[in-house]
Amino acid sequence: MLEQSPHDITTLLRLWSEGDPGALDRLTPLVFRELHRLAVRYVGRERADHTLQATGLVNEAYIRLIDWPNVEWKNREHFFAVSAQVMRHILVDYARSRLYSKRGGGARSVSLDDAPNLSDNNSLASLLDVDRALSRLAALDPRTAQVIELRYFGGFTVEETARIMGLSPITVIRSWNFAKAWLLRELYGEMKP
Amino acid sequence: MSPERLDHIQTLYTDAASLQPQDRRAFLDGACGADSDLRKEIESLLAFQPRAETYLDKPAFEVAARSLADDGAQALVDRRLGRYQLLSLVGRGGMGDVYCAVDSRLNRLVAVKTLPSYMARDQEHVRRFEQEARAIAALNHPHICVLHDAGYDDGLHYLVFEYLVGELLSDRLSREPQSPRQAMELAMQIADALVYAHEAGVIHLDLKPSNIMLMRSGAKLLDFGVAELQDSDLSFSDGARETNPNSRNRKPGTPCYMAPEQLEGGAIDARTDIFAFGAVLYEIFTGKRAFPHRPDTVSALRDNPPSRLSDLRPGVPESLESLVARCMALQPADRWESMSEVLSQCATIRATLPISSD
Repeated sequence: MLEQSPHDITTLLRLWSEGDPGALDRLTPLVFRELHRLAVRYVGRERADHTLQATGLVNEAYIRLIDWPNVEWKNREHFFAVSAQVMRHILVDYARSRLYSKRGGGARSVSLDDAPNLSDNNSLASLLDVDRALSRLAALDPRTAQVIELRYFGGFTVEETARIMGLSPITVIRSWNFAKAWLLRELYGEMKP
Repeated sequence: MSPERLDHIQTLYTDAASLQPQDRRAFLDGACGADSDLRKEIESLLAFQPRAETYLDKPAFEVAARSLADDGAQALVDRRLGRYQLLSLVGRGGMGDVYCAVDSRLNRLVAVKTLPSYMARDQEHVRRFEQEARAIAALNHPHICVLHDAGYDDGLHYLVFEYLVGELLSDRLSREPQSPRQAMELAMQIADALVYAHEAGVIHLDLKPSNIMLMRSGAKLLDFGVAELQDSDLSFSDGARETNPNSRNRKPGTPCYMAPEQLEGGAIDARTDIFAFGAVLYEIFTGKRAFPHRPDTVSALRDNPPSRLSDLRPGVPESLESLVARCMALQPADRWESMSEVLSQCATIRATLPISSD
């Protein structure tokens, strides 16, 4: 893992936020490497108990990705907000490519036109649903949408999200709870909840 | 919709959601007045409130990583690791994917458990892995699943266990309650296996109902010491931990059954298993987890002590209540000192149980 310098990621994130679209292409494999590391650690974790330090693992991935002490540009808050956006782009692209592509050997093909599956909130299809509905929420209420973006796509805690957005934790919790109901209604409104 | 209106909706939603469902109507009567659109808006959101509680409880990064993990696991079917031909993915045990496989030399079915590939990064890790695997393989006890072999092939560490067919204790408990005598019988088999292993210097570190297989011949403890093989100390060498003051040296395990010192990455010994044993004993008798909220910090453990055993299972002897409580003491020093002590307590309690309780 030594070949990967977190500092490069910091630079790439800065370039991306300044409008260099190529930076995303170079960021993607770096994020993927962390995704693979995490996946490897999940392999075999028992289903029933799979919350096993999950947040810890995701945080660890972030820590590895980002050179925290060198995050000084503009301000740290802006940097974290950008990180969450980048994560969202990359994970949505990943989910799309996964769901649309057919692979040999135990391939799954999932059509996005399939009725939303109420029972599985943790599938890739659900990730795409969140992305879609979140864009609609952002058009109405960008602040509430950003809470979801930071928490769900960025993986930040309530406290971190509060700090990044300059809000109180209680406001973040309220927005988070409200937005989740809003997103569900947006996605499944025509169905019985 | 104006930002003010949205704000108002969010506020009313939050206030209404904090009320008991039966009190919401009156609240909305007052808050919305004649504004029926507003009321419809809030009510349609409230309809999703129960589902919203657990919605998005895993970050997107984790969702993606899990899907990758699933793909990776399936990919091993039909592969060969050493002399073992993997036939099918049969489960995901505590610490690795478990495959049903054929041992091509002895021509028998075995269970092959794969461990993450990052463990094989250097010779020192491989050496420690093999050393610890040898200690586990040396365990020979009627209530411990036998480790036949350990190997490394094509970037993967794997462990080869005897192939067992039975019912996991976790499944059994969700299906039917155990009579006090059945429960104690089972507890003593588990305790006996732990006494034996501890004397051999092996700690289980991931004792839980889904690591206990019930067979006609009694219980078998699965994954003995595998948590130790997966010890993050063993698996990390790139210094990530040092750069992060918040990351603790956590040991793998399962939060619902983990002792505080294991949660915190502190010193671990046989008493760590005693804590987990207490939590399992609790569950065998009550059918409920002692720590259902999956505590991931010591303060979460401390703040949510289990309900009294006798509240959930009236009539259990007081001595059982205190046995379990002392197993699950937060401080290792406050627990029983050894599993043999626990075992003899179990035997004493069993003698007091009425035969007719079956």
